[in-house]
Amino acid sequence: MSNGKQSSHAGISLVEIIVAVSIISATLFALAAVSRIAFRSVNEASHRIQGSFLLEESFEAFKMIRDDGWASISSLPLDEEQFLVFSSGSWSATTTETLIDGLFRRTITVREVFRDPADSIALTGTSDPNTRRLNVHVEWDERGKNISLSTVTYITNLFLE
Amino acid sequence: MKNFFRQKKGVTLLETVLYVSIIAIVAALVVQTILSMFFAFSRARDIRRVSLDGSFALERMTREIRLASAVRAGESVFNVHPSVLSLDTVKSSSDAAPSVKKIYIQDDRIVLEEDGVSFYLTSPRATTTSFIFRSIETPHSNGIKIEIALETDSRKETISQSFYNSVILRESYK
Repeated sequence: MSNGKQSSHAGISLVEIIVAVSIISATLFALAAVSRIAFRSVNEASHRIQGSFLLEESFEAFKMIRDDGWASISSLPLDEEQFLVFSSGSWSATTTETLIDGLFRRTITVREVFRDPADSIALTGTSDPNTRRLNVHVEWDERGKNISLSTVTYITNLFLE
Repeated sequence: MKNFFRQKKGVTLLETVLYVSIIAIVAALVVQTILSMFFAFSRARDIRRVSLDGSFALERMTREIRLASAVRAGESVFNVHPSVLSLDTVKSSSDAAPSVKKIYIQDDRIVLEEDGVSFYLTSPRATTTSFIFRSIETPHSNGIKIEIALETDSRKETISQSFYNSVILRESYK
């Protein structure tokens, strides 16, 4: 009797230990997973900062291209992905694909702008040769996941050349 | 009595061996997990430092260049690391008093100098490994292309990030 009681008591402690161990390890694995996710988010956040500067840069670059002469904007093909290149002291648009820092892909699509009879920008109407719509897109791969930032701006023939 | 004792002792030894091995395995796992969490934490902190320093410095330089009217070509150094940018500008967006501002590298940190008073734009632990300004001249305006790379030493590796921006000197339009 005493023998049987002893061994059954020992058996319960072993089960208890195993349960405790599994709870502790599950908690730890969860914590480790959380820290991995946190680390990934920090990485992604820093790429987003870099990406938003690239987005901002493309606006200024296009303004500089416009300041070079409206012809360099109006001659760009419409509805086609363009990339920005910097060479010998000036920005220009090209169709040659380039990756920035081997990670970021920045594309700019130039679109035609239409105006309604009230001279407001509309989806249809008269084509305005002195305004262009720019769709800027920055995208990159974040551990197999595609992340993209995009925005739209208009550029006008400010100096009416 | 003697028999009973021996039997009990045997079970306890087996139990002890089991417990010790289980606890050892758990302890190893615990230590490994905690260590990897610390590594992840310190790496995240270092990445954060570099990206915050980079975005702060770049944002500030962007605003200063936007406010400026002309580049002081004689005091500026372009296209090489470390570049120097000297600007004819105003005190601030709300104070139109003329001012000279200079952005350069000192002790591997980015420095902004306003009328002789200088302060750092990056923290001591972020090293500026590349700091290049390029001058852009168009018939109607002047612009600056900024390329910076910051670096910090993390536990196992070096974290490095590059930031780019191009800015038009708003007061340079003609």
